Amino acid sequence: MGKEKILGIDLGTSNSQASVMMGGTPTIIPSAEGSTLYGKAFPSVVAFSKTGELLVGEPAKRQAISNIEGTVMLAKRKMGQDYKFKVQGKEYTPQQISAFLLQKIKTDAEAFLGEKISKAVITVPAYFNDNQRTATKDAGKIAGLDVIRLVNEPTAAAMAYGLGKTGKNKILVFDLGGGTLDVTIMEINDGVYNVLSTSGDTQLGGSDMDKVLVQYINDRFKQQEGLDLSKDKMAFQRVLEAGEKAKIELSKVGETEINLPYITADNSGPKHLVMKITRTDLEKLMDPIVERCRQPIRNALKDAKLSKNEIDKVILVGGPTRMPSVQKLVEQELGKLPEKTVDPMECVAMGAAIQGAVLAGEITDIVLLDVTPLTLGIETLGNVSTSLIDRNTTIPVKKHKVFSTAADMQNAVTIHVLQGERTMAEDNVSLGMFNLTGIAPAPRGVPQIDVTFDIDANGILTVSAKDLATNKEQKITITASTKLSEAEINKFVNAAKEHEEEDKKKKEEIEIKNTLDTMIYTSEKSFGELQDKLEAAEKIKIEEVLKESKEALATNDLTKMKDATEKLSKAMQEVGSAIYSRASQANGSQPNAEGASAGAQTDSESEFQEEETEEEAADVSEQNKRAKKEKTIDAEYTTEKSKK
Amino acid sequence: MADFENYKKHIDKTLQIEREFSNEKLLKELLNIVDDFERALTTIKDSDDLKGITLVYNNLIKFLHSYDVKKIDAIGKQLDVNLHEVLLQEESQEKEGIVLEELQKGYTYKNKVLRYAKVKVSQNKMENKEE
Repeated sequence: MGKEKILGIDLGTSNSQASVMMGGTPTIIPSAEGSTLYGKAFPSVVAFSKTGELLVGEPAKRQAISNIEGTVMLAKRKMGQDYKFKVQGKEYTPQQISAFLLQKIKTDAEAFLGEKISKAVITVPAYFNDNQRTATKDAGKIAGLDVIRLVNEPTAAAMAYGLGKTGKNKILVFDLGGGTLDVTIMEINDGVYNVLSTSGDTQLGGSDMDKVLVQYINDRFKQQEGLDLSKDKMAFQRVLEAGEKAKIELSKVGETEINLPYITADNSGPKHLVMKITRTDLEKLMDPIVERCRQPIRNALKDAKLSKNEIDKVILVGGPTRMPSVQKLVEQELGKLPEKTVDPMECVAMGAAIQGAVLAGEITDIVLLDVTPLTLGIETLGNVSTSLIDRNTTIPVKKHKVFSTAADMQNAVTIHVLQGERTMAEDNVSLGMFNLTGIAPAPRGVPQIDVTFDIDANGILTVSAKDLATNKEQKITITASTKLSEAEINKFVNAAKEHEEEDKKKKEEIEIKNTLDTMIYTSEKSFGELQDKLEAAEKIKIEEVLKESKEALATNDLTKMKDATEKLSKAMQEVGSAIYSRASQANGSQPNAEGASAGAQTDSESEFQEEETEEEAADVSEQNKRAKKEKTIDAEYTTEKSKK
Repeated sequence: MADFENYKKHIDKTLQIEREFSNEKLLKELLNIVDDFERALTTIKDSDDLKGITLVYNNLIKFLHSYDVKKIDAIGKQLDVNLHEVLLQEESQEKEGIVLEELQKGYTYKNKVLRYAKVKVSQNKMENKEE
């Protein structure tokens, strides 16, 4: 017997699609009631009829107008949010609605294949955050599907093209759908996919184009005959269909004729709509819309720090990319002919099927890496958001940083998990919060709290904090909902850009203050410890400098604090070197021991990827240097919340 | 080997479906012309022309019948999303969800819907008030 098939599902905003690997090629699953032979898409519509019957896909779409309250569309836009659809007196989460769609796809796929399906790969937009990804996975679970992997949509598209099996390629995926544009730049290295940047427009798509064309046909008819077809629902329906057909035809031919006899009638008799439309006409109409695709391409290049010449391949996804004017614009912007061999409507689902086959062990020469859409970090002293995993970091990833306490004898820290690009915690989205208690009483800066962020292959985040002294550990998996939509994500990134200067300044201010505060604290401590090794003049000098520093800290004046920090640091260094020269005894063994224990910690984290291990090793050595210099572990402290 | 057998079975099934519905696309296109004929028939006043064109139309319908293409009944029936597509809704004295008007006729082909009937359905004032 062959291995169990893994279904690839493109769970779309308005339409969904499924594909499965058959005899070495991805095959699109037809929906059971496709009105045409192999009706391929499943409209992402769920409805409950007035009699309580559940309708999914095409039937739901066909009755939508007569049952607005009972019909749910665009559930994907609410994924991961704390939102309930109220339908016929009952409430449903976006996950439940999506689960109905997945259930339908599963059933139809089983009918098509003649075998049971229990596992699936589902695609999600590259910008989906952790909550949205978790919600998607949950939807699969509710539908009885084991979602073994979530894949970014552009990654799936690239896989459908079989790109990057060998060699190194940088590709740009241009995905223009019914309502949104997503531009993604990826690097593929010997079958390893890595997203470098994403950009887009959430209010741009094919439906805008259809609207403009239908408006144009209607206007021209009004000019010719003086009659407005938009008022006649039946006539307008014919114009809609004819417009869509003309648009498709004009992708292949230079001119088409719309021919709608007896479209309407007035007192003088029947009227016919006969209209020639050329490709040039269409392109002129579409120009304002198509032109809006330009900037997102440039933004994606800028974010990836690449010039257009560095892009090796361009992939088109989505029906509207079949239009020559769209292709021309992409070609113009990138100086390259886009790839056209895979149906742009099907390549995402097909890529998911290929990934399914990889995971089922049918294909072995592709590995998959996705990225985090936004920076992830925790809140630290001064309400600063300290990043652990930067935006666009390849996942799966596991990173850790050692933090410490902000006050003496502090016995608990609050780990506040944040997502966003802004410097201050309050400007970012809170993903969750937990306390690590029972920290052994110690002066500030001494306890070592190891905070680990672990994002699995599906983009699901687990945060853990461990007190290295007591081995006490607390963790959370981020599943709580936040109210973050795709538009808000874009807003966040933009806000971060807008506030870049201001944020930087704020962060600097806090850093200056924190540095001085820490410096005073450590100086006082060493001063106390070194009393008997100091000469009287040195003692007086340090006491004086310390007093000045404390005064400077109280003023909150940046220049004064900066100066004070420097002065204090210089004074302490002078005293330090004086002591060293007096006592020839080496004193560096303790920091070394600390470094070694941190190193062992890293080794035990065997799940680190190769490159991550290197990076962490670098962190540790840096920590070592710091330990030698200041005898403190890390300059970053978690905010003490337990005081409240 | 089992994989290959399954694949072969699948291909056989696919081919069978292909054969059965290979005319589908063609017939569906033809329906637009049937619509045009019907529109023409309702506006032609000259009785000789009307008679002639009616004969041509009847031949066309007979031809469709011979291919097992049948019209979907809609008017006066309860909305059936497996056959009908709602384009409009109108308040009426009728029961909720009754097809009041056919905006475009629907057809089946060998028990499969070739084109859904595009319809206007009733919205009952009384029933909605109760809700």
